[in-house]
Amino acid sequence: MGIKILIVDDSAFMRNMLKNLITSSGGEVVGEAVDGNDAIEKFKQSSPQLVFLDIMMPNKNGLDALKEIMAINPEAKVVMCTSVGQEKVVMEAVEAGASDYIVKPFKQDDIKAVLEKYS
Amino acid sequence: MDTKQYKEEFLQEANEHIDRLNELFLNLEKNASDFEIINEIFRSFHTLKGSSSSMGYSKFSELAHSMEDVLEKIREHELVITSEIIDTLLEGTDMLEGALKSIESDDMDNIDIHEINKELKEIIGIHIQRKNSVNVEEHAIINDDQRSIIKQEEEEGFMVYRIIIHFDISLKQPQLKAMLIIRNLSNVGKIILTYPARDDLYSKLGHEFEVILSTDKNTAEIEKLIDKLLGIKEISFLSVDEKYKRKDREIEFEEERLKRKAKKSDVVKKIQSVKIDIKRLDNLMNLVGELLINKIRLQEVVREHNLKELDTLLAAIDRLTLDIQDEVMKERMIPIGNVFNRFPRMVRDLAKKEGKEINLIIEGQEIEFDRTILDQVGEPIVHLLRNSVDHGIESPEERQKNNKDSTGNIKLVASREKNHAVISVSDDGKGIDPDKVYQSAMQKGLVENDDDKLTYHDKLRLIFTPGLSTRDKISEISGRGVGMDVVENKVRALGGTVKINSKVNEGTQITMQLPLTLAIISSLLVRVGSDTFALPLSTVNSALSSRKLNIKTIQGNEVFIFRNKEIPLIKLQELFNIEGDNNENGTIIIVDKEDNQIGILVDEIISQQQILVKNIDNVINDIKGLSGATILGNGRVALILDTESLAG
Repeated sequence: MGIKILIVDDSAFMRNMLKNLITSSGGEVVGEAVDGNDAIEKFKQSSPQLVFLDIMMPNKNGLDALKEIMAINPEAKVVMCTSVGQEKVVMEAVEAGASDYIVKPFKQDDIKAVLEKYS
Repeated sequence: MDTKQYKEEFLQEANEHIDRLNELFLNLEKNASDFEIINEIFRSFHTLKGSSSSMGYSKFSELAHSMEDVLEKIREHELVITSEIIDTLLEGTDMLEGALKSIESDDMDNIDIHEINKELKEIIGIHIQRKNSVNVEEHAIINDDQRSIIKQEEEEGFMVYRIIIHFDISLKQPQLKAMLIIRNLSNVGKIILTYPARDDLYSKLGHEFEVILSTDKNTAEIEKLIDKLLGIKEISFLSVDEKYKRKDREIEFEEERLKRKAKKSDVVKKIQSVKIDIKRLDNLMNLVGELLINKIRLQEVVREHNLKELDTLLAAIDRLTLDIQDEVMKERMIPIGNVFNRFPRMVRDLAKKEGKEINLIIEGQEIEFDRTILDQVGEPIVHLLRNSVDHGIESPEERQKNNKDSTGNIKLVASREKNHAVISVSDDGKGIDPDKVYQSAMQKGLVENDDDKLTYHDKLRLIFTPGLSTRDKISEISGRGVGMDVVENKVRALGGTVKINSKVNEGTQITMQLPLTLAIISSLLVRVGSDTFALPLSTVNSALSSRKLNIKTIQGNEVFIFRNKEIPLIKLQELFNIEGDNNENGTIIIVDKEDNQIGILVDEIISQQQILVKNIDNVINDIKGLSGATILGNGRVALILDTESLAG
């Protein structure tokens, strides 16, 4: 089995795409969350080895979710999913303990690289 | 990556966003200070930007990005919302919607976002030039303060390295990567300086980043900390010449981490709905249809062989099948609100263009229709609303002159009655003058001059005659060459009817009665020769033996008298040129049409049955009198009669 991954994104479309990219790169998606609150809940439930965390989400955004996840497990590996134009927030995420970030649009190689680094 | 497989999903989600956006913008116009709305709009554009760029739809993504920029400024209180800004944003949303259509038809060259993009950029008052990354050629210059720190550190026994990191050329947002490096290295040592400096990362960082670090770790450990990040091409270590003393380390990040407290976790919303592809529901519906057919076959076999033992079981299967059918039908039902939600925007735009003040009231958004009907019902409603805005509601001045409120009202109401639904569009405008309609129809030679015979209502109904328009001036809004006849045809094709009511100076109400579903209908099966036909039960009035009737021929058409009325007789065997039994012993089914009745002569009535309507448009499009087909219990096909087009 590949590395256990939790996907967090409010867009079903993005989740699906990411899931397929992860699966075809040999990762194992153990959970999908639709917002920050869901992310924290699923993080506790599925204890993933890696979290792909979108930033802009309703209810609770990725940055706040990240902070809580890091509080639950300071060793958590969280890769922020960002877009051009979100540098400020990602900077905050970096300071809050995010392991890394990837910039949309994702390519298969980007995801493969992440999985290789964290396997 | 092959994105084709995601296209459908992308389109579906994007369309949902755009529907919601239209709604949100209108709310925003009424309530410009509502930050919940602004944030939701912002998120929507953000999501659209992300997913479209993932699909490679660069123009779409660029436009969504521009829209997001404007919203960002609003969020940051750098921009005050005005009606003009909302207009531009709505225009942009329209462009996005148009772009989706182009994407759907794989015709993306058509998308021209230049103008709207310019407008959006003007709103935020910037002319964005993509910043070109400056390549770092020069290296860090160590000043005196830093020199003394380096000396101090080395005296304390720490190693001071000059680390040069090269990023992948394709790495996006290298500033953030630099921040990550700074953070990771801060955990194992002291960063004496970076080049570019932390505050200059945005303006100066290219694909090379330099750090001078004091640490007790060896180069391999340091390398690991950097190399675990994505997008790192090369790391080199150089030594710093001068020897300096050490100062106490500040481990900001460790402290910060300790300070962090867990916030109370909010109550998590449980997922209570799932999205299902419409195709799957259609498939399910078809399967239910097949199940239905096989159940009927089974019933026939049981009856034929008189298998009493199977009766209870069969009754149970019968009930279960009906339950499943009910459930599937329910799943296919969608609230009409999904169609209605684009109308406030449309009416607003049209009213603005016409200089009219209009208040659109929508009721019954929750009434559910089968998707097949929902898809078709939008067009006639659009037409009726356009008519109301254009011809119904008067200008504010004219309304005041007639002692009316200067704001006109248009009411769009959906309601449910027994097993059909009613949608009505009414306005409190100037109404339709039946005499003018009649005059106009006469001038155009559409009716005979028989004023005396026509009632108020008859004249009003002339509005449904093809080729009639009571207005000479063709307006941009509704004079598009389609009239009320188009509305009526569309509704009739759906198995519904249209009624009109109007009073001069008081307003007009148009009511469409529609079936809730087209997929499964109750029908009366009849036999002509060896063929079986299905008649929608909702249209059947009564049945009688042809022997008792006096059939006569008037002007080449056969008619009979039923309850003191002359009713035209349709002989299916003649109409479809098939061999039937002796006419004398046939049965006549009397069916109701919009405003009269017809008699259909058949050999016999077989039974009453629920049938699954199969669309066979291509084949029978041109054959008058048929609306579809169904498969019977014995596996044979029965054609479904369209009573509206059978006669006349």
